[in-house]
Amino acid sequence: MTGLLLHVIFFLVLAAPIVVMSAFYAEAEDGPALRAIPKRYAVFVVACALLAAVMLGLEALFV
Amino acid sequence: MGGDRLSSRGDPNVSVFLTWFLPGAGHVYLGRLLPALVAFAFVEGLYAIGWFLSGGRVFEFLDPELQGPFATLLTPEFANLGAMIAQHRVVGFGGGEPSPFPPHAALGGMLTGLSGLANVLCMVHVHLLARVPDEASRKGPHPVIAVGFGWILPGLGYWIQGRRLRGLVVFVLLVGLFALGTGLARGSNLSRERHFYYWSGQFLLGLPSILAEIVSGRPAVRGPIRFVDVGLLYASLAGLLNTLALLDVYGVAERAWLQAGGASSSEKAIEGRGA
Repeated sequence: MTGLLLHVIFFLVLAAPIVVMSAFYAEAEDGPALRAIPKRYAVFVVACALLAAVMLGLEALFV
Repeated sequence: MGGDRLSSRGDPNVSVFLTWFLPGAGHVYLGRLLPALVAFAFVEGLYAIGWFLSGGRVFEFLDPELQGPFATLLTPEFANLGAMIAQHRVVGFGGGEPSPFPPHAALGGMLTGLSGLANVLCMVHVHLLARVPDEASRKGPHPVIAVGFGWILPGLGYWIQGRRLRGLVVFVLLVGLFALGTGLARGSNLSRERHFYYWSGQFLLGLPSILAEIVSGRPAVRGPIRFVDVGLLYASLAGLLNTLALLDVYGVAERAWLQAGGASSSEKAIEGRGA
């Protein structure tokens, strides 16, 4: 359980630069880019969680 | 569009393609002999010194099961394609009796990688040169300079463009991610011989990764490292994310550069696509 929690934390840490860099790339102005980060972060984390759930479901079904 | 290109020095894509195979060839195609000589001497000089120091054995760092004709496509040397193909044809992956690497093989590998990055800058320059022949009339930092600085230190490209908040955020995030990764991997990521492909990713971070490797002296691995996979991922991704920053820096620098000198119709079309 501790291992799982640690890896979730590792993922959340890694998600931060990915989201910030993509926000900067998408928005030329600093203000809108910074304001978009919380929503982008939430969407990224939820989308990755859904993907992980689908993968785990497929693994449980076919492996 | 095609007419505009013909009225300039030459086709930008052809000039990039030529430079990719032979540094300086694109400049010759555009009739710029002095930059061609400088590009050729600098890029191929780096590769030659690197080849000499490593004995041409950098690609032997790859595990035997990974060695193949396409194995080096994910390396910085790929950006200097002619030299990389020459190395493949002349020495390949060795294949003789196993022997110790030369003492400066790691430094040699760093220089051949650096030649690839230098050739990327040459390709950027030649592409812009084909579209904007009158460089002297332009104002602001040259896009090649901005991209080059952005590679040397993450965020520095933004800084010289006057986008200082963005530059600081990028520097803290990417260098912090690299430092965290290096700590989790206990420095085992700082060796191309040990982690050939991950090293290629973190090399894109520029000076921080190079200095860390030189200063640390590539620490030996003395036992299992619990979070080595996470550390390698962090360090490599820091470099790859810097590529996104470089593309952003280039896009803004190019638009400013084109506007400063009064854009031709083909340049305006490019700006329109970027908007």
